[in-house]
Amino acid sequence: MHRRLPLRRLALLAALSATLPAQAHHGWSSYDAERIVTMDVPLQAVHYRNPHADVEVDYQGRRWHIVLAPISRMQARGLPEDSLKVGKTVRIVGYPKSDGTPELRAERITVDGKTVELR
Amino acid sequence: MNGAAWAAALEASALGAWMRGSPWAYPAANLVHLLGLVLLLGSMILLDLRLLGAGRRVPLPDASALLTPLAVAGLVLLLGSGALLFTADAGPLSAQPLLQLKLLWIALGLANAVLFRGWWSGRIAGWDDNPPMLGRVQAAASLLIWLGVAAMGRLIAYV
Repeated sequence: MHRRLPLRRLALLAALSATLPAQAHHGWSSYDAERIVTMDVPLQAVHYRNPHADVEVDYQGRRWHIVLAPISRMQARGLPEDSLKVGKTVRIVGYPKSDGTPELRAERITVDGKTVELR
Repeated sequence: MNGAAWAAALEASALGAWMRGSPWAYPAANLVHLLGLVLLLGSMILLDLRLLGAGRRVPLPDASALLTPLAVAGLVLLLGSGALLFTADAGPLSAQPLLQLKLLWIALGLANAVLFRGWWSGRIAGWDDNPPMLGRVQAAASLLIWLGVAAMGRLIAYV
């Protein structure tokens, strides 16, 4: 009896830890997936960087922080660093933060007439 | 130089810029971090459960001799890759409560491990006949601490 107890605990731990990634995966839960926002805006700032690139734009009187994707993915899908330039107008489609902060998780971006999926 | 200025300088350094700008450096460091986590957590779960009384068919000195170097190797990989990942975002990360808590728990886990070795190394051979209560509490704490550290590390990206 005494010997079996730790194994039962181990099974419980395994079951518990299995739920962790399930909840946290696509920690995108802080974004409102019911509300899709489309912006046609000039880029105010570009940070082409890991762990993911981001840009800033002015939209409806506020400065928005737009989360894009890891740069290896963007390069692979045809969005090299020199395709995103400050002042260039792009179309960004994505989900805003649920808590009202001006931050958007971009699903796709259209640059120079070419649409790139970011997820 | 205070902590915030130090973190900002680290983020602005050539190393920080490289971790952000290279397409492969950040994912590579992530992979090494994951390998280190598997080695450390896998070894520590097995060793701690053995110390708590599971798997007595495996002699404890053998288990310890096999698993401890793997855990140390994992720890070294984790510290190196973790420092690299930190440089990419040192400013905001250094101010993040969850990362601060994680670093505190890492310190607790290391102190716990060092104290365990200091106090109980001589009793590993006869552990099953007469396991010290404090030693078993330390093994249970080790299990919780390292699982907690791993969970916090993963959740830093989501808070």
